[in-house]
Amino acid sequence: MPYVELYKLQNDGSQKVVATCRLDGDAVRCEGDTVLVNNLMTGGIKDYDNPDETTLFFKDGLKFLEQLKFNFTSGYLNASEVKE
Amino acid sequence: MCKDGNMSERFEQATPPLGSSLRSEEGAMVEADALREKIKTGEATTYVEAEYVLARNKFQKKLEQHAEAHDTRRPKWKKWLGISKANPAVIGMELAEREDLLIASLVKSGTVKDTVEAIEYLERKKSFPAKSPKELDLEYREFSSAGLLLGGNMGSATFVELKDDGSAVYKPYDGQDVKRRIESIRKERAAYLIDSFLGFNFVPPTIIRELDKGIGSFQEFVADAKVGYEARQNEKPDEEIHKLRLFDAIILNGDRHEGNYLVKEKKVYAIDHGNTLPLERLGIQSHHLDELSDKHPLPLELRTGLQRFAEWPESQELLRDALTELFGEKCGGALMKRISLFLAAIDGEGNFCKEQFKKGIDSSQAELCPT
Repeated sequence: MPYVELYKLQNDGSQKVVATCRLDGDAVRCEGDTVLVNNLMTGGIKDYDNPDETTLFFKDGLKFLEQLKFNFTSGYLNASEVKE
Repeated sequence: MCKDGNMSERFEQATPPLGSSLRSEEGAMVEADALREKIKTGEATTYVEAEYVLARNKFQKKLEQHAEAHDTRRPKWKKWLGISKANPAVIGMELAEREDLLIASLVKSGTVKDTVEAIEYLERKKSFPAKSPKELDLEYREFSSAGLLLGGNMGSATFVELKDDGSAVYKPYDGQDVKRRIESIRKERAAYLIDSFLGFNFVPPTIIRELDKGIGSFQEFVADAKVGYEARQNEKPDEEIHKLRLFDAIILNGDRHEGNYLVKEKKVYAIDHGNTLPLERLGIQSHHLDELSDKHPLPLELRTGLQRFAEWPESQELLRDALTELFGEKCGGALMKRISLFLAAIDGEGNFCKEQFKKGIDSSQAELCPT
């Protein structure tokens, strides 16, 4: 089942997995930090592949997972590649 | 209805009285080499001490010339000239003396009216140094450790612990092609410069530094901060978010989302500016203004910062020089023009007038779009 991990940078430079988003059927289901997961669910993420800058939500499934790593690039909160 | 202001007039008409004496980025590099040399030769043990040594050496030369012309003061100068090691207390005295000389020369040259004005002038100058102590720290401090970060698509982002104190996030953008990579790194630095010169204070100190993966943006790490996505709505202060929209309108940031700002103790930190400042599109408006009212009152501290920038030609010159160094004269100039249009949109009561800014952008499109 394809999934993506979100890593939070800690003060000592280590990274902690704070949420994991998995493809569950056609949609995405995220588990982990409740505020983070809730904000991802309600606010969605930006679709960097789309010039019109549409927003992707859990219902967009694999597309949502694939775009996570483009949304989380700051170092403070990074997303992994889609893993199997 | 917004009232007319004169912030931009001051901005446009001002000319730098001491522009030629400003320390450029290139000058800073030369100085950096000189500081390293002082440590290598054992004349100083830290960069701070090396700075004192350099200041003392520079000053000693002036003192020698000065002493010849003013015999009566010679004994005092000689006493100082006899110092063989850097001594902050003595250097402090020397710097104070140097300031006296500066004040005198400013008055004599007619740059300022009197000594009171000269002191104010120097105080303002100190408020806009070419590089802040934080930046110098990031630039010169050695590392105690560096660890590659997992995830993200920006290549080898690395968390770096600095020796003695602090840490930073290094982003070489090595996942991009060379041209875009260099641009992204420069944009990170430019966003910090614009932010700090205008007094927004959102962007952590950011410099360009070379590590094993080549040059990259090197930004102070904000400990214990939450990314926007991790923060509850009541942890994100409205005032700061509105202010952030104004900043984004200046730097044309179409990429501000919950993943690239931080919140800590009701303060917002803006990060991730590699995708801002589209140089070929500086003449467009910004959708970040849409959520602001037509006449948006600016917080007092921002208003003060903007006013100080508008009234102080030297800071404008410093910023122009820095942006020109990063993006060339044409784009540096275009960015400064965009900033001046922003200042022109602030009325006499300190309100930001959205429509006025949009009009200014629309009427200056050709000038703002370097080809």
